[in-house]
Amino acid sequence: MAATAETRTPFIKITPIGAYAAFFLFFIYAPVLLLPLFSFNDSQYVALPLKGFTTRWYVEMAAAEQLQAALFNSLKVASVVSIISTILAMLAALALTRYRVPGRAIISGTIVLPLVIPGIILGVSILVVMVQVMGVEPSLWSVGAGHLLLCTPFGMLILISRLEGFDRSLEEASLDLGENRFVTFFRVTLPLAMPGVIASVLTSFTLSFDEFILAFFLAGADPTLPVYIWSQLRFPLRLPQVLALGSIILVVSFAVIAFAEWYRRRGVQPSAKPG
Amino acid sequence: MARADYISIQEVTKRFGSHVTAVDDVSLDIRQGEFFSLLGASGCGKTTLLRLLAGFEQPTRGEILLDGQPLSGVPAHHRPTNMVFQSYAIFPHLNVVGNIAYGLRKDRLPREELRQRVEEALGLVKLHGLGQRKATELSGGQRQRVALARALIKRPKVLLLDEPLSALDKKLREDMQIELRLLQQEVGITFVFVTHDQEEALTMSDRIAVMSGGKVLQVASPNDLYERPSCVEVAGFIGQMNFFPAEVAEGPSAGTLKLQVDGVGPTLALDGVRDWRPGEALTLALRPERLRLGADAEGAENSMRARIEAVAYLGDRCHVHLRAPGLENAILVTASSDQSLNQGDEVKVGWQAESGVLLAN
Repeated sequence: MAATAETRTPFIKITPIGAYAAFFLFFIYAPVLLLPLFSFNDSQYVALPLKGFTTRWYVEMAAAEQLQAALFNSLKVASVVSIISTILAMLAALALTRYRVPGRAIISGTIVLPLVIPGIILGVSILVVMVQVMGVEPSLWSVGAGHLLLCTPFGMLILISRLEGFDRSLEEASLDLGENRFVTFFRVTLPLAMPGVIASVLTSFTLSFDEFILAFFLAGADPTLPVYIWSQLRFPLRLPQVLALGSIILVVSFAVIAFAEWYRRRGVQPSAKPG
Repeated sequence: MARADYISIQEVTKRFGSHVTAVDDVSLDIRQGEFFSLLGASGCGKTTLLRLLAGFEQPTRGEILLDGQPLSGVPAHHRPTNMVFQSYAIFPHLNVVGNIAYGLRKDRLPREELRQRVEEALGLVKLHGLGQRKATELSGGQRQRVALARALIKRPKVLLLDEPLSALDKKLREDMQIELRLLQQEVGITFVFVTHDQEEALTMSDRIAVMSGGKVLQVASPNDLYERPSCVEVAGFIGQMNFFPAEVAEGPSAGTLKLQVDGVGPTLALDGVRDWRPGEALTLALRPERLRLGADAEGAENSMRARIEAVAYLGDRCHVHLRAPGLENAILVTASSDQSLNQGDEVKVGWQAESGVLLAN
């Protein structure tokens, strides 16, 4: 018996590195995958063993108005922020890669700075300036402004790497063929930078959509989804609804990221070879 | 009426920063309808000069006139020049027709005329039927043809070409040299062609400007450049050349000059374009194919003896390297390959007075 077992190639060979990989994947994804599992579990309590299958939480979620309001708040802010931050990021990336800007390092450093400032400090300081200095009440607008500060540097870094990646003579060729810089941007630069633009929009959207600390300080009476979910953790009875919503977001996010990655790979090939 | 100063580059200097002078006080005129080459090693300023013509760079000093019109202040997209880039710069997101018709969109041509112009341009560069091909599916040679068609369809006054053949393999490059030359004669547009390949420049050009260190050393036809280089640098850059340090011993009388060549002795040379004074130091330059060996050298006006160091057989001819006592450099001679030449033999090397080119030091 022992001899035959040895000669047969096992389907999965357990090696130390393989075991490590398996544990790694388990710890990262198992908790996330429990979310959809419990969202279909017929019990108020998020605990094993599973009690039975139900779609009750999804039905309740669809009826929960506050939850939906929070979801739409988040979608609104994330949509606007992702588009505005990508436009700002594109302008910054163009200035830094296409023109000889004096103080280039200082400018790009200043733009990237919000990434390294702790969110809680950023949140408190914006709140203080807004309420005490400017006398503006916290609202979705202030959440959007805060998220813009956070998303623009990400977009800029993505777009700079994209703009530096393609042959500069393509833009010169367009000028040479009679189009001015403005038209050249729309006919050459933008189409070639499109994978970067999509990546910037999606990254900004995701960042804004699940950002918690800034939104917590700046949201006021209109909570975004993460702020709402956090507030609901005090009510165990509403937790299953949150799990249901979380499952839907998980599936949608996965689809969006898969699409973005597919689009990016498709876009990389054409400009890869200069000659 | 072909203008002799269709493009007139007047005392143009281009500096990058405070240290780099890419183009240094260059003045030259290019004729209408001419195939003009800028020839030089990399970093000599030839590409910068081309980019100044295209409008991608502005001169630090000086002025460029095109057909009498000053170009300073005219941005690249308003200049009647078009360029074929070294990388070809084919727009990867457009197909062949999209690339070729790119520059016509702002002209707002009627659909039928647009189609005709594109068809015509495709025909000109022999790309019939490839109009719908994606830019990413083209070979190097095809990309170059698309770049040419895209520039020529604008009917520019001047076509600028930045080493367009350097990315092609040898065989294709030689075919394209002839084809490009024929194309230029067909369309009659003034071509300004940048290259570092002296053979390419000699094959294709009406006239060549040899550049070095941002300056123009000589502007001449290929034949003049080869036979009558103006300085040691040009002579060394174009083809192969043997150089001998020498001194004027006597003359000139009746157009003939007596030289005292180091390590060779007294030799005769023609006076050339310049008056040489006795005692003046100069360099005698001799092309390898103008030197005769052994029996062929009998009766030559000048001669010396040298030992054969090496013979390189090239099929139709051979390169013979010779050493002579008192000469620092080896002498290179191109001989017919049916001559019996053996390593180690001592032979007579001879040449006519008219073969020598006299260059100032």
